Amino acid sequence: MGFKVSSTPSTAKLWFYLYFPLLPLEMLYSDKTLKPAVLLDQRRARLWLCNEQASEQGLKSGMAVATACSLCPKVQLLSRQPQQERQQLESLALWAGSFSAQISLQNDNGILLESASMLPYFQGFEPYHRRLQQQLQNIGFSSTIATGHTPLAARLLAHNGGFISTEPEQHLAQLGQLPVAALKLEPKTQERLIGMGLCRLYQLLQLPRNELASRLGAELLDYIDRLRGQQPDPQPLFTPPLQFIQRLDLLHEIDNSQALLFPLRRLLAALEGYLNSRQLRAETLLLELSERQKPDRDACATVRLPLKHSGGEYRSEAWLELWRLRLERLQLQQPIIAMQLSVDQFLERQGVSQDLFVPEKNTQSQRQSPQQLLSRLQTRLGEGAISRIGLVADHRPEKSWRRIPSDQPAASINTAATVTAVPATTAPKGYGAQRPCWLLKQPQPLPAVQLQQQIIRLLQGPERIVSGWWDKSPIRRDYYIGRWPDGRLGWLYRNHQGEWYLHGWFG
Amino acid sequence: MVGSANNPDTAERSYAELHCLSNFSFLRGASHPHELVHQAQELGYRALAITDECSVAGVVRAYEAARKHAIKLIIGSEFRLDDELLVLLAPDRRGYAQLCTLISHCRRQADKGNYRIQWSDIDNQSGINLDHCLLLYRPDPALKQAQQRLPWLAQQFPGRCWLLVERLLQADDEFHYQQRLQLATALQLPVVCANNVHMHLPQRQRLQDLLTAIRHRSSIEQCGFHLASNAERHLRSLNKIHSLYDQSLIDETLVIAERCQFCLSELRYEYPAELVPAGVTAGAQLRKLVEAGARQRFIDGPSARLRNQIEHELKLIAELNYEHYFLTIEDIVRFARSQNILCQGRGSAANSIVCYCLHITEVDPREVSLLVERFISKERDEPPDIDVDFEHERREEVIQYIYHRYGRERAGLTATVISYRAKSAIRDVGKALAMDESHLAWLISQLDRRDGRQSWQQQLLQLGGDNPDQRHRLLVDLVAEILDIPRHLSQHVGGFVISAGPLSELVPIENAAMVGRTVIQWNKDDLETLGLLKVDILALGMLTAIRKTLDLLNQAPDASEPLRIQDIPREDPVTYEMLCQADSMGVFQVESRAQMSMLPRLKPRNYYDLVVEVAIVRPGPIQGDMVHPFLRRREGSETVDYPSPEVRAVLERTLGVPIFQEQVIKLAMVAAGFTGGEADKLRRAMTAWRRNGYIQQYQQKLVNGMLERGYPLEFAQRICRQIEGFGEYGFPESHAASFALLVYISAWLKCHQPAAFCCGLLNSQPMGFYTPSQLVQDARRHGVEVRTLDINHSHWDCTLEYTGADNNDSDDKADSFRTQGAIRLGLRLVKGLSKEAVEQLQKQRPETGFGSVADARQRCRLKRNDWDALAAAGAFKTLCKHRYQARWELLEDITTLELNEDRLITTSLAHSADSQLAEPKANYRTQVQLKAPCEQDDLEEDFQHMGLSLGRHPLALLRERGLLNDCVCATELQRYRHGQLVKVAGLVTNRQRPRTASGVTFVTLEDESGAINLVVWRATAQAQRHALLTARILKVSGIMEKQGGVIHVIAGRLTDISEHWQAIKVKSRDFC
Repeated sequence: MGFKVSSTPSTAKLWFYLYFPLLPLEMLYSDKTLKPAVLLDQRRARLWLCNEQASEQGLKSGMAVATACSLCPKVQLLSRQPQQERQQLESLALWAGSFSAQISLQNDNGILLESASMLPYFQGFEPYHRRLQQQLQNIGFSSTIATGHTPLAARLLAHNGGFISTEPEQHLAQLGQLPVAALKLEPKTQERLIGMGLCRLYQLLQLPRNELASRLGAELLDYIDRLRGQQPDPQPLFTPPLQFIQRLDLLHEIDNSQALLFPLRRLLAALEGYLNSRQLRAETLLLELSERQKPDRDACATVRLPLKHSGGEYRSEAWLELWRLRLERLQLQQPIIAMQLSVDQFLERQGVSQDLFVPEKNTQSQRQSPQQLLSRLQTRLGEGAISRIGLVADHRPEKSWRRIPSDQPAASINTAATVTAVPATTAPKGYGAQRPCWLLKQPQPLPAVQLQQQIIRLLQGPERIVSGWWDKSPIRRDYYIGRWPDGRLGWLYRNHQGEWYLHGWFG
Repeated sequence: MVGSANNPDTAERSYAELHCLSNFSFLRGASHPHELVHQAQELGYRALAITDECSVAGVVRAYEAARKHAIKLIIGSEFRLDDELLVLLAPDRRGYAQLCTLISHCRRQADKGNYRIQWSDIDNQSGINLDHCLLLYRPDPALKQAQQRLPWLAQQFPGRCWLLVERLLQADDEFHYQQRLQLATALQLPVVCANNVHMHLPQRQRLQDLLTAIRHRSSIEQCGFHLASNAERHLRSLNKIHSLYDQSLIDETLVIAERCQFCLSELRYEYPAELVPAGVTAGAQLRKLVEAGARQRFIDGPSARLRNQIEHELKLIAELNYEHYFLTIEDIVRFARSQNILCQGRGSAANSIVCYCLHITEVDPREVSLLVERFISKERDEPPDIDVDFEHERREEVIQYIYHRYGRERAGLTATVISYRAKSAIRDVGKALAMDESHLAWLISQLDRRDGRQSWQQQLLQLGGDNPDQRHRLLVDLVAEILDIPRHLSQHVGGFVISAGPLSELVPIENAAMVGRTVIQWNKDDLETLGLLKVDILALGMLTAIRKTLDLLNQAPDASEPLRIQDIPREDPVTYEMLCQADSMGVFQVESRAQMSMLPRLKPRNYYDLVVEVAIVRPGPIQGDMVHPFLRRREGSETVDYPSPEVRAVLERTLGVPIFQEQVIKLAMVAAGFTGGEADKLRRAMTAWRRNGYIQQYQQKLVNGMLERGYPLEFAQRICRQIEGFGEYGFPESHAASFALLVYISAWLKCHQPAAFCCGLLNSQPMGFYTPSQLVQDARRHGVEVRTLDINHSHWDCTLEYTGADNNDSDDKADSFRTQGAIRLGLRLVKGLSKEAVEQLQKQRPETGFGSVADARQRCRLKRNDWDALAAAGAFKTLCKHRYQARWELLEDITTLELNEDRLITTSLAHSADSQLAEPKANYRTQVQLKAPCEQDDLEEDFQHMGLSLGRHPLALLRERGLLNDCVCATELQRYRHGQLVKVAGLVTNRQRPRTASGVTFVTLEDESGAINLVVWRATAQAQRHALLTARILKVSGIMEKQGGVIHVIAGRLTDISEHWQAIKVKSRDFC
């Protein structure tokens, strides 16, 4: 016997599935790129995703890298950034907060929205769908969307070109035409079905349940039941965080402040969804731009841009306008490699007047984490005023320690390209024992005569340090401890040209 | 007194470096052993110890270099125990054996590439006897353990223990130095200095840092304190050493060096004794076996000429003391013969009459006048080299026999040193420079290693753009530096060393990646340098195929006398005729496209032609431009002239063109005046050319030598070019001679027993150039009947069936002396089917076959996957309507079947879709009737599940639909003229990687009548690379090229018509 179509009215159930097929690739470029670009698989042997331009050149996912490069030598090969993919998807989930209270992140670059309960707020299905489409376009990711009366139905339809309907029967009819290969079944099951000439879903649905189960296992029946809504299919729900802090690492450095608007748009879209879902407005936003590290600096500098909207605002368009004005005035000193948007001050959505009478309502948003306290101190005192010292694994003395910006946890500083924070245990034995506590900011030249006449007497050494050929500050030095006539102990070195320098004092 | 002559100081100020790592301490040492030896000599060191970490893998190379210099080489090894370090040195042969035993012990306890050492290992109570070794102990930096450790070590190594002090100008260098001197005084132990050498020059620090980063799987920038803080770990000048260390410490290095008298030349190979019975000499034993063999080989006894040859060879072998070597090989080969494992020897000594009599080879010396001197030379005093090929599926039995016969302690596989090559270098260096891996993948994909105009290094440089960033420049520089640096030891394909005593006293043994395999720390070049003998036990698929073919023929109903290789008629003209037509699919060595297009031009008519054929279509002769002169001379369009009678004697058999490695060597001797020893060095330089690039030094000598002897410069330069080509892939005549025999045997079998031969090939897969599908198509075109897989008739292997065969009536097969059978495809072709399942099936299968699907399931309890695989491959065709239905029925749960067992027996024969049984539930049989597959689906399923189909060729289907009306099929092509415009279409079966040096891409298409060879020029390939690289079915318009019976189509327009296949499938679905 075939399946019976459920006669219960299922208009009560409606899901939207937003599928972002190229998300892992598209998030890697900060502007609409017109060049062919592809994302490689984990082993970097084959293509995994291709953008439109790459597809036009005949590149396909699954193709060997070598083939792709011969077909299209200019193709840009990119590697996956799984952590950032997740962040990006979460950011999209925040954005989608405007459209649903029940959101589920799917691990195939999709977001599932429970929509039935939201339709009244939007005056029906059509306006809801229209708003969703509009906003999706603004975000700038390729997407296909589909409806479904079950999560699985919506997901399958979204993965296969998209489909919009409110009727379960239409969903079913559309699903029936899907090839079995599109169902993402276990490979063995799929091979068996195709090997029996069962190529489309409807053929499968026509077969007797018990025979199907005994041959292909209960999992397949379960799958079909979930697809048709005859089995519950609970989805893990996404809970928005208490604080809004969204970070975006830019794969391409941006050196023009107006170009920051494109990636910023995505962050603001996420903000709007977040504010909508929590019924808040934002009064002050903080945008932090990480600069590329300058060669003569130890750490990445951060440009901090607070922006206030008196009275508070939640619409991304309004905020974008404000930022556009703000960024026009900004002169970038260094290219930007990452940006972070956070809300400094929230306001309740329900009218400003109430706040006057019930100021306590704001306590939640005013409660400050140590992090916030620090960032406030920092804005007051000026950038770089607060920092702590970290030990760095580098033989070169001037590189062997660095100031760590106070807002950066120690563990994360190895994301900066050149530095690893070294726990004391990995340093060589006795390391640091013969190093002075005070290093001069710049080594001071010493007249060689002071050494020749033994005005400065060398007590210990040499310690020879030859290292750093891989970057722009290689050194070749012999270090000594020397005693000055007044008894001070200095740390001095001779470079390979025979010149002497003082590098530090022993306390 | 040894010392550099131009510095009088060094005569009194000498030094011996006792702690030095080469790059055989993988990813630690940054210099080659020979560089270290050379530099130490330059600096005026008296001795240098190579002390790689738990290894002696690099010492033979150091020894080779030290032989040329006056410097003494000491063999030792370094061991690290946490922060402490030991250096063990071998003062004599016993000490060396002890060191090797310790290294083996430590290596065998750890995974491949690692070692484990404990203090108890060097305890003379419980550990390994090290009573001859000298020990240098370097304590941990903080001297935590030294107070206790030193007295204990001094007790373990009385009079042979030193405290090792090394000053590398790190922090507190002076303090540490004094502290150690005090410690030694307090404990009354001698102190010695060394420099923990990791490189021969300080300039190698960059490479050393890089290797460190690679070892720690980190980028240089992240590598921090794992990197050395300076470049002091090099071979330091004597001045520097004297300024750093007290004289007494330096003197002590010389004292130790003086005690080390061991030299690798002392290693004499001792042969296993068991091959010679007690009381008999090895010579007598060999003679006995040769005489017995001669009686078998020559029924009327050897002729006088052959008798002379036997005596001559035996005398030569005796003079060179090689009796044991021949006996060892004979023993292995005898084992193989006793197990019916086919084997064939090749190599410098294999083609001798002695080897023929010992059954090491089947190459009959009466057919080929191969002189053994060509292969063994008293003058050259190099060990004979015999490689033995065995059936690839059964080589493991031979290896196990060797382990069993000599024990694992005495038999070991030789190592292969894996060194950095272009790809691995770019990848590892790039990672260490923190470059993006996808960028590295891109760089690698852009390199064309066959581009003759530009080396890949130059290409790499250019890929950085006009103004490459610093990182890219570093990459280019460091890749060049790391190239050829050894990376790890791997297992050689089959080189065996067998010794009389424990092998581990000769050379350390370590674990290989494969479980149960061990390798020695030396490779075959090292063994050759030391004059140690090895036997190569290699695997050859064709031997498997030949043996299986012979077995099939011997099982034929009319088989009387068993057919053996030696019974196959020699020099059969019909067989040669077949080869001249390039009808050689499946034939050993000459089945590739390049070989096939050479056959009609070379026209082999006898055995020696095949020897040439095998050797000439190789990159060496092609790069050396030897092919075309040879062809022209053979066709008679170019005269052969020899510049001198000596050259004539060397080159006459190959029409004045040097084709074999041996000829080049001989030429160097007769034309350029090389001595035997020099010629031998040239030969080794040729084989090691890629490794060292020092063939140039011989080239000048060659040219000069030839000019001096009055040869024209042009001739000299041509010879040099040819030698360079050989350097890449030279092929020795001695190997070609053995291969050519297998070419002939396989060609004869294909010619006269095409069914059995095809069957043998199918049963030996994977091997050869062609897929089972191509082999079966070829056999069918030769009139062989091929029958489909059948659950009731097929065995695991493909078999020959003689009943109902209708292919024996053709006249041209009248000369066959066995009846041809029809091939029944075997179940081994079914993808995903286990051999156990097939064994059960064959056991349970009734004489008359299974009556039904249910009957089969009732009798055999196979796993679901096995039934599924059988049904998918169409094995139930005779029992079930079609494969879709068969799969549906066979997926039925077995317990459901058992519940209905009674019914099953009564109703199993009622095999129709009658409706009276259609009661639900009570009936075991399914109500579902699936739609049958169409012809295209059937084809696809066949290919997917057994890799071939007996149905119509896909191209025939397309042609039938009128989609290929303008295309010529493969067999019709012959009717077209040279230069004519043609259109062809076919499945793309072979696509040689594009971007070759000459810019040609070779593509092979297959249609229903055969193969079509396309030549795609660079411009065409670039303009249409999409179709070229991705099409599965290709339509091509192009120009016919016909030359000497070889047909190519020079491609013009390429059209990808792959979608036609899907399109007609959709159409056929719509209409049914």
